[in-house]
Amino acid sequence: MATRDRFEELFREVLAGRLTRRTALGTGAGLSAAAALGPLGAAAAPRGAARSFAARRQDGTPKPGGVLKVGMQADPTALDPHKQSLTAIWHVVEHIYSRLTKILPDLSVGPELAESWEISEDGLVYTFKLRQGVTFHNGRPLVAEDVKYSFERYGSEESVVRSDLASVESVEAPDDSTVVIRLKNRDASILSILASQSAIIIPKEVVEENGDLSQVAVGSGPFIFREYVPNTHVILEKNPNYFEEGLPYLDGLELIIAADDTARTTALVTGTVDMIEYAPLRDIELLQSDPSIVLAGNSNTNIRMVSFNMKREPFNDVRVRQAIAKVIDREAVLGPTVFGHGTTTVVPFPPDYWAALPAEVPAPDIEGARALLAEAGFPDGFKTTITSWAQYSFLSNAAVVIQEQLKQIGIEAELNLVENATMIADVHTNFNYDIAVTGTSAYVDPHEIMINFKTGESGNFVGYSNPQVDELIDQGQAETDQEKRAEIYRQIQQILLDEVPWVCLFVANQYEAMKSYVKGYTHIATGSNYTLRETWLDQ
Amino acid sequence: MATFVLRRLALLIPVLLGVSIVVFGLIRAVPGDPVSIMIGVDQRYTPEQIEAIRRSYGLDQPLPVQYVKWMSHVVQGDLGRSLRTRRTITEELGLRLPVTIELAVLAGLIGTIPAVTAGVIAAVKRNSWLDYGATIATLIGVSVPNFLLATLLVLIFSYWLRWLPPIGFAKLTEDPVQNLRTMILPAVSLSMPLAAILMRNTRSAVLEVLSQDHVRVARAKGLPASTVLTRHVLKNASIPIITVGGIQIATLLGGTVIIETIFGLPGIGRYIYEAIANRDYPVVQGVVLVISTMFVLISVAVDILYAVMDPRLRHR
Repeated sequence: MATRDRFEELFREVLAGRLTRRTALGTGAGLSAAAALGPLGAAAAPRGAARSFAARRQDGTPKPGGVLKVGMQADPTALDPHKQSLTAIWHVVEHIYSRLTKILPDLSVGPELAESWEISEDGLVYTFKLRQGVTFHNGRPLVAEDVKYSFERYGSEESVVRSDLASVESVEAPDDSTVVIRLKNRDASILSILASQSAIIIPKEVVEENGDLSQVAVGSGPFIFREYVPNTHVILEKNPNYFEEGLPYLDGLELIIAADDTARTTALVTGTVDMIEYAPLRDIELLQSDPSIVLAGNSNTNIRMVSFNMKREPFNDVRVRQAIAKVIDREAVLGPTVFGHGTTTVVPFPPDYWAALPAEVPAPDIEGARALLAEAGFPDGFKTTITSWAQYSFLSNAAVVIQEQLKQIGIEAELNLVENATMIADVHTNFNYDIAVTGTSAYVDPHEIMINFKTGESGNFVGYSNPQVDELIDQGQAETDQEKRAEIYRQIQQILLDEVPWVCLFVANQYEAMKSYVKGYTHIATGSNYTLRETWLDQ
Repeated sequence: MATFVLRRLALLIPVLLGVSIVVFGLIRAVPGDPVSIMIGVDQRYTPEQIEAIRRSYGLDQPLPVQYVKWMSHVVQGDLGRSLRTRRTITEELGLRLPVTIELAVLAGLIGTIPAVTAGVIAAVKRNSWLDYGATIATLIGVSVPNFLLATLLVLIFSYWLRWLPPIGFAKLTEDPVQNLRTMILPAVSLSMPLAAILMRNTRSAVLEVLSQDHVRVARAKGLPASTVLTRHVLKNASIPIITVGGIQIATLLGGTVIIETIFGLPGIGRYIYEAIANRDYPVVQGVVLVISTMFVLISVAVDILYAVMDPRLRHR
């Protein structure tokens, strides 16, 4: 597909050029900074010009009614989040089901089905009070027993996401409106886990009737599932009995699958859809220069990094890893990967995240890197390989840039771009690689990232092991005071900066783009689109 | 004729048996595992948990056992279920096969009729500007990759002219107008290489026949030019054209991956591509088997057409 990308690039320049001409003629009402710079400015994506857009827009009084068409980036394939861990599934089921809690735009945890909760003195028992009068779409009232059943299925042997509940001892339903979750060990991330895509509350009878939830969805959320045609669309209809007063405003959602970037952008520009998720990063300037389109979004929490197989020579030598960290120029990676729409970082968090260690992004230090490499016994460098995802250009392009940068200290790396299944097998499971350029999904709680550095964990695909870090990770998980937790995580990040199991590169921005008559939508940095329930059409 | 057809059809059995073994083995020989893809890279798990899930899908059994189990279902017409979507493969094919067949038929129509016409004209008016024009058009048609053409068409007809939607497929049975609106651009992009190859072949086949003695005789005895062309030239030139056309149309069935992705069509090309990427073993096996069957059937159909066009072939 590389050739295809190049061709598309060409067309985007044609598009950008055309738009610039039009603006120059004075027809564009919203003259953007990018377009005003002329053809060069429009094509070259001035860094920082389009970083962040207001998360919530002041949009006036909501008008109910209308169906919103949204261009989706990927086909969900199925609708059962316990059988596959796939963001595209989440982006459908989050509208249909409810969870106990939800992640608010500021990434804190707020109530959804749970009205309130109490945490016991020792931090091991969470008691939730459920909202009253909530019904499933099939009309049956939702009771505490449903929550118990849902978590049993979530944690069952056949669930691919059961490890989320590793710290849960039991879930009990003493009466219809009370749920008690007992933990094996204190876990500060539990409330955000309860807001995750897999923590949906499902009716037992629907699972039993259909075998699983792959092709059915009966929840208690703002929208009712009507139809899913694979690779085509998902049709959702307003739930008139939804428990949040007055919501949703829309009569329905039509989630249209538009996997191709060009098609997705074109669909929005031409009004085939009203909104697109994952606005293609190379089209941001183009979309911005269109006065009928509004963008929402900012930096995501997904981290992109270079990681080392520490079970292999020479990457078991900390000096080699430090040398590579010194030579990498993160700014140079941002352009070819995310067209400047990202933020460089040296720690595995966005710089403005509450648990992030404040650390400068250093300029590359070639001399220092050479000295370290010489000290490690490789004054002239060595030969190695870089493995990365062929499917994701934001990672494979980073790998190409890093391959070039490593040549400065004599490291000749062969590029090994592989398809997803091979990547998961070789890099993320079997330690069958030297250097990998890879990434994580978005997360809410810092523990979800930190666990990747614990000895023997499945996410620890670099083979890193430091007893002190293991200890701190446990402490961080158990600590519920956010300031104390941040302090623990900063200690871990300091150690990681010295020992370099990962060289963190950047966090990418994520945008939703919509026609200006789409109002009330709020971007959430986890990538969730659940605020579509608060969205309305000003038509 | 009947025995001829039956003999050709009997060939299906060994071919499909061979295909089934090869595809069953190959998809399991490539690295990667369906269960770890379902789990993804961000989930924590232990080897025991993976084993438990593998067991639930029957993937822990020895390969020969899995193969025999699968085949025993296949011969009863049951292709099994997708590991990922848990739909039956027959159900998925019922949705996707019509889309790809419609696409192939449309592309076939758009491709063959003008191409054969242009090929004949180019041969008859050899070395005229018509011939050169057709040759240049062919060169462009063969050289321009269909993904580029597809992107161009989206740019022109969706982005600039806004005549056709870039996405938004609807089933033929439910909304034929919308269906056609979303099918035209992909069919055109798909048909271009087919048309180009077919035009070249038609031109050279017609040229070859034109230079033969019986054509000269026909002209010498005073038959009108149009009769010479239809009765003596085209009939003889049709064999190579049918051969190439048949193979090309069969190839369309498998060659629609990129086009289906760009235009968001739920066809079979994209389905199998995704199944391979996710190591969805039953889907890969089932779909390859169905496509092979269709491929063989199309070549049998082409053979029969030969026999109709050329009586000498019936007795071989």
